[in-house]
Amino acid sequence: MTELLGLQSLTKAVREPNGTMRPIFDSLTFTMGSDERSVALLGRSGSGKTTLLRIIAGLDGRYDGQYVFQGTALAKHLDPLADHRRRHFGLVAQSYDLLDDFTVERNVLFGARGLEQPERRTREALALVGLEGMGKKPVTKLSGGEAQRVAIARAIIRRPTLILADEPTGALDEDTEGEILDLFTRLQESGTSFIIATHSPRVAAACHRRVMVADRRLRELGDDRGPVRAALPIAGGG
Amino acid sequence: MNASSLLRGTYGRLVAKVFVLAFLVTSLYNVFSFSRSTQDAVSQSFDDSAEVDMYGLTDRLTDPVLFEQYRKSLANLEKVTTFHDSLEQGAPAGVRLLSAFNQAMPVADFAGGQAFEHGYGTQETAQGPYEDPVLGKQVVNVKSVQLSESTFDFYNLAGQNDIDLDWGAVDYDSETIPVLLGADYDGVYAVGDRLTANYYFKPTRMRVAGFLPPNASMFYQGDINHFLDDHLVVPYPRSITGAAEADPGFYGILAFAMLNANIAVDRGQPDTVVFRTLQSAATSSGFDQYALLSVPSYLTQFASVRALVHDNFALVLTVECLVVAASLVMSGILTNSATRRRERRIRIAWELGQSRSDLGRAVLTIVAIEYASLAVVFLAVTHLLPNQDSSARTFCLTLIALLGAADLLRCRTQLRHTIRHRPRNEP
Amino acid sequence: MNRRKPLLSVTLLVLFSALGAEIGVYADVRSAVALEGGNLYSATAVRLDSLDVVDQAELERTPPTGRLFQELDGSGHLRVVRTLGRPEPLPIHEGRQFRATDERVALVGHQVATRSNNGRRYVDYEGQAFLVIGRLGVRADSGLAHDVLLQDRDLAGVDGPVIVDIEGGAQALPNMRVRATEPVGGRTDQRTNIDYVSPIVILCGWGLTLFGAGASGLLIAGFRRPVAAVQYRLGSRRLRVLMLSVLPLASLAGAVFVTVWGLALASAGALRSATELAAAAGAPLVLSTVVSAGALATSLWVRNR
Repeated sequence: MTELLGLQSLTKAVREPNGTMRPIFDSLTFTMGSDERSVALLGRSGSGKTTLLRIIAGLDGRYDGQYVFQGTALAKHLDPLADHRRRHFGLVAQSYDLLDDFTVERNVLFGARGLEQPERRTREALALVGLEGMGKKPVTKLSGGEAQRVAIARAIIRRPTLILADEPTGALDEDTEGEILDLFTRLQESGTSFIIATHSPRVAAACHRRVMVADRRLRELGDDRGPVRAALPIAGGG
Repeated sequence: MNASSLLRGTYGRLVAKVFVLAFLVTSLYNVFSFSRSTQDAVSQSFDDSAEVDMYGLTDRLTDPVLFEQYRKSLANLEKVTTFHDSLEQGAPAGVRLLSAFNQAMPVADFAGGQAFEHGYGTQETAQGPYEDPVLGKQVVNVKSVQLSESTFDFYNLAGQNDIDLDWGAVDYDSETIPVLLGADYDGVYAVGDRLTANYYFKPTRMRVAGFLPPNASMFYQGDINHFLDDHLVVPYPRSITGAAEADPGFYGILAFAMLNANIAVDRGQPDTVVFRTLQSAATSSGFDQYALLSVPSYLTQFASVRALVHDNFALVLTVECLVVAASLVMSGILTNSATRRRERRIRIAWELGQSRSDLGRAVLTIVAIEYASLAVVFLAVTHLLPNQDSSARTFCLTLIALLGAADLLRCRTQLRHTIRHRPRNEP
Repeated sequence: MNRRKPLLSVTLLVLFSALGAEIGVYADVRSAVALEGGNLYSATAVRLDSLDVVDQAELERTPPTGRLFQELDGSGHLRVVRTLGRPEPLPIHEGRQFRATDERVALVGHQVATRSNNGRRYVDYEGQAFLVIGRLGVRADSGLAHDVLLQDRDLAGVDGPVIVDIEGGAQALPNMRVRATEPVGGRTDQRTNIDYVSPIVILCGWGLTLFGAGASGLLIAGFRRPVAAVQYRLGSRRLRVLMLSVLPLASLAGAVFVTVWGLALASAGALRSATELAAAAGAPLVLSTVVSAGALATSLWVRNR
């Protein structure tokens, strides 16, 4: 199995308001193979799931350790990391990250910079997520599920190698969560890999592999699509 | 959720709003006080009745020897004073004799400084105190103007605080002559003070009857901006006919001084009225040694200065309109921005069980802080300004109160709306 | 796209640029009005018996800013003027101001007769023709309607009374040997306290303009910040994100500047000073743009370290 990405000896600490340093990661190691379709990232609130996703996305360059992507070690400067992010990743957040002043189509077009025929690609992306014909609708008029689909359409428009999703169904009801998971499954079948930070057992169970961030390191929980073990922490706030 | 919790994170906006509104109210204060001084400037010297054709009157006795001979005759003096009285009292409506003469007045033991001295600030160097042979004392030649009641009224001159000259009491044979002092004399002399002056070589006692308001002015020798702030204003008596016998020397000079005059003719009158008036006065008095000069520059200057006074005001008003617009827009934006930040906190407090009246009190406190700060800043700034105007200040404080009331009403409406509605996308 | 924020941005830029320009126009017109009320003499103008009391060589070497006037016929309506530097504009309603280098030119009042030659107008004095470059008076029917101002070095003499109207007063003349001088100007202003009120109007106006322009910059940055954050998250470099926000704003500010400056020049008429009005209209726009760029840069660089 070729390695898609690998984090070696990742160590990070943050300064608390009282001036002390709180360690987040301590020589954490994580690898993901190029044939792995989905990894669920689990852990208590404050364990560092979001921080790990931000490091992988290249939004945070302040850590010790090595980050290798498709065999290349990445520098920790934010601007080359931005280029890297644009080429390889799509990001989906719990709060959708949409721009209220723009329409659905315009929001997706933000992700299409530099692509040929961006309007056509936008329409294709919206069709893929089930929002065909809704391009002109203002995002303020969307339901939560629709808004998340728009965010996913923006994330997939460049056909990224990997989608990083942080609690993508955290604000959605069960039925809508199911629709989003079906969408993720379809995207995985078309070749897109996912790393999903989640508290939802259902989302975790739908992923190929499950890892937990605990005690500043990663622990493997399983890599089949079986039921989630009882050792999983109870879902809580972000 | 109290006021300080609601204010967190919005202090910058509050301070900015206070400053923006302080700019607005301070500039309104200035425009208000300026508009009053503009109105005063127009009414002080330029009410509508002052729009006249102006003529100059003088005598034709230019030869000094002839003049001295003429002056020594009591009969001749009687002609001159009767001629004056005919014009002063017998002229038709719309024709006014404006006697005025700016003879410097030597005043004994003068309490003022060099700025009041005739010749101060000119290349005719101020003389300073000197021994006056008539009074036998140290005197200073102060700037002075002698004028008649008609002239005084025509230029809307008046004493400050309703303390004015009693023209009926102006009697040159009495113990003292009441005089007015220009506004710059305030602090140098007080009402009731006595002065001793050499008035046309006659020792004369004068009593300070009052002060002119600042920037009192008149048209004199072709200049519409002849200001009297540093002048001693000596009133002419209404008539001196019959007085020359008692002191021919003094009244001989005075009679001709009183002939130094302008004649103001209302614009609706025909051209010939001033000639007929003078002719009639000459016939009845026997004095025909007068000359009439046209003073066209008066009307031009008058119209021009009045227009300029209004131009100044129009300019200030234009800038002020933009200042008002910009201030209100900016204040609205800052208020809106602060309100959006506070909305969520208010909603959460309400859902957690805080009462509406509590929240209303917190909102009221914020509005009170904003407008109390505004009032303090406004009072502090205007205290430092050179133009102090208490009614302008009262107007502006009332405006601050009204703005505060309007803002409070808006806040209460916003509070009701916030409590009742929850935005769709808010987690 | 929601038009409210772009519309608000344009409104704020126009409002504060217009306020700055209007204050500039006000200052120009007001100073011209004050000069008209003072028979073209400012409050610091004084009368000297002759220019002999001044070091002439030094006056040529380092001229102050202002004007020297001399009467030519005693009527008060015919004067020769020497312009030094770039003084406050004279009140004119047509044409242009005197420049220090002009020779044999004239500014005349509306009622002064001129003769035409090859499409230009002239007035004659002592056999010399003077090109009329403008008409005196803020309006045609002003107190200066019969006045003639000539500018010609040959006409101005060292001897004879001269009105010296320069910045800093007569004391700013080099090596002046006279202490007492007779003030001659500024009387109309005295009527209305305009010389007290005007600085405050200008100060309040500029205070609000600059404060408002800065606050507008922050507000406009606030409008752009979510877009910039999304663009960065989607993988654009920070400098590019900043340029994508600032360049359209700068273009918009440029369009606003041209419009406001043009309108200000038109409203100032013959009294316009193009450079000063450009500065007055442009300063708020520059400030808004710089503040906006600074705020966005802070959010991109400082908060994303």
